[in-house]
Amino acid sequence: MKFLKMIGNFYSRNKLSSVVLLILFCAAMLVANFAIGRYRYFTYTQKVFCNSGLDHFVYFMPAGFGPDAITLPPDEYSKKVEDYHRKIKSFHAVRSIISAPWNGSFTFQNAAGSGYTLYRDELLKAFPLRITSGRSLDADSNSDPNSGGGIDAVLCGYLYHNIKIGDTFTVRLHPYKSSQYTDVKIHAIGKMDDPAYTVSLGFGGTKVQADELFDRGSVVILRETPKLLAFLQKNSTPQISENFFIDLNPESTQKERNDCVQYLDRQGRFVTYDKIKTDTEKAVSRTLKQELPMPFFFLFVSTISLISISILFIYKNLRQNSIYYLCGCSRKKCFGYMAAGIGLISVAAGGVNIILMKNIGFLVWNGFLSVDPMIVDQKSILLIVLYELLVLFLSIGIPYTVYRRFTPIETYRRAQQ
Amino acid sequence: MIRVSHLFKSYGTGENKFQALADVNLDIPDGSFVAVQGKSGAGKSTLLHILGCLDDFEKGEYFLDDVNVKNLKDGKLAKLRNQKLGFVLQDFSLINHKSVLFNAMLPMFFNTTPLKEMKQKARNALKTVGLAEQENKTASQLSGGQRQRVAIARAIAGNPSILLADEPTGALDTGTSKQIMELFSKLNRQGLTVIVVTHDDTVAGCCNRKIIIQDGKIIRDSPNGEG
Ligand SMILES: Nc1ncnc2c1ncn2[C@@H]1O[C@H](COP(=O)(O)OP(=O)(O)OP(=O)(O)O)[C@@H](O)[C@H]1O
Ligand SMILES: [Mg+2]
Repeated sequence: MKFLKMIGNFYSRNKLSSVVLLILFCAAMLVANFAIGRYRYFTYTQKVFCNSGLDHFVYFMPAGFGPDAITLPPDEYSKKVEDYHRKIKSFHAVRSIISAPWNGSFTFQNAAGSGYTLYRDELLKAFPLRITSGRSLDADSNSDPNSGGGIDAVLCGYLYHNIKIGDTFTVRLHPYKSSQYTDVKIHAIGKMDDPAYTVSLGFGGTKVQADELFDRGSVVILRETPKLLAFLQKNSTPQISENFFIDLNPESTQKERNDCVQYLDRQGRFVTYDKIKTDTEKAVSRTLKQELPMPFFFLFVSTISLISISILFIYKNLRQNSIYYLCGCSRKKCFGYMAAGIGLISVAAGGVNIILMKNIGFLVWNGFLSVDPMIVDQKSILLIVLYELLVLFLSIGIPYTVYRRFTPIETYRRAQQ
Repeated sequence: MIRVSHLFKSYGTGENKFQALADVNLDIPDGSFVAVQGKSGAGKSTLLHILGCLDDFEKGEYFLDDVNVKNLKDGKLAKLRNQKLGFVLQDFSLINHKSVLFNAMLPMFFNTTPLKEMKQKARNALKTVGLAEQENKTASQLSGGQRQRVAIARAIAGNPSILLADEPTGALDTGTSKQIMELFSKLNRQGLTVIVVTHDDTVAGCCNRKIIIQDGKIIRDSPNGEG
């Protein structure tokens, strides 16, 4: 209690600088953390893409299905996309396609904004789920909506943070423009902790990078089977993004391939796997070179200012410490009060950051915060803690060497002149 | 009770070495009222700092109430200062932006006195020095004489056995000085050992014993009135 009062006394003399330091330090750590999170997202998606085994594939973005396509009801639109897929598959040069996952929405615990994503086996193989607990979907997973145990699912994102592996819960499906509903049981077999990214293939542009092929959200991933899809199409409104990957058979003839490519060229835009890979590499190195230096410089500057201000605190508190000393406070304890005061500033900044990182899923889900795709997790918190230790060491160790040079006796002498 | 024998203290090293105290021998029984006098630079403050366990010394013995001070570490010395010694310096050494009460309580922040008792003791001390009404003012709002009385209250709040004062009246006018010395006399009559460094003969005149230092040596040590 007394110790706290003395620390309070330290702050009361150094109010403004303490507050400014706290804010500065908090912000610097946050910005640096976000920058690292961004970079980790880029390298993560790059890794996933490079390991996808889609080397022979091209990413195709159809130019749309006529001007009125957007106004079509979702089910008709989906039908058009499926027809289109069939058409592409009929080319001799096309071995297979990997289309985007079906997405649909449901209400869960009366909250809208969540839904399901159907992963087909090819998609699971190319873009394995980044499971944090439990197991992933596979051929043995139950996709039967009428089975008593519930549909096996991998849960992603903040909305499901309370649900444990093995739990079952009910979600409510709504068909398009209808007040009817169907309840289905979901069985959690695995989880992807927030931030969880699922393949979306929603992006279209001249330049495609791996980071643009994923989406973040609170979704339930189910394994697609014809039966399950039919069930969902009947009871809800699954939609599919029109972009997809096409496997061009390298063993087909040049002419067959040209036929297909010419068709694709007329119908939309496509980029090859290698092009995406190089554009992704460029994006990663651009992030490294452009997005990381500023935050780190900012962090460096704020660390330096913390250390310099700590040293100034030593000078500023020389007289007060000499008075403490006079009253029977040991040299070590005098420094202890200051060290605790200085240390608390950086610890508080680190604490705020850790709390923020821990609750970022909650903040983003509830719309308090909007952030670019990034990966912040336990590792980010570990980084904060390590950095915190370094800062404590520097911001207390360096001022201590200064502190040792001044004895209270000198201060009394100076005061008497 | 203070017992010092063959005490040496020097500053600097090599060519710059300066012998501030050389072979000082001193016995101060409990309840003494001692003035330490001498020219500027004679070593008065140096002696007081050593007696007050604020500074170390290289040779000799110093017993404070039978505690051998010589080999004590930072923490133990601090405890000794906190329990047995009170200080009054020329510049008052108060924390100016804090209240009078806080200043008087300050030494007890460094020991285990409960917060409630701290306040009680500090208020008693303030009453003794006649500042009971001023406890909520900040130290900077007081006059010089009042500030010095706060410093005295702070020095005696924890019931020390010895009060050490270095030029306590150096920054005060004659009238105020007299009041401060009267306060010291009163405390001494209540049993407190008081040691005052001063070059003011009137101040020294209030004491019962006079020690004169010159070039780091005690050249005279006599009961007052015999000098
Ligand atoms: N840190 C130091 N380094 C070198 N010499 C010092 C140091 N501190 C004190 N001295 C010297 O020691 C001598 C004694 O100093 P001290 O302060 O004890 O004198 P004093 O008798 O209190 O003088 P005054 O009446 O002016 O206060 C002085 O000559 C001073 O210059
Ligand atoms: Mg002096």
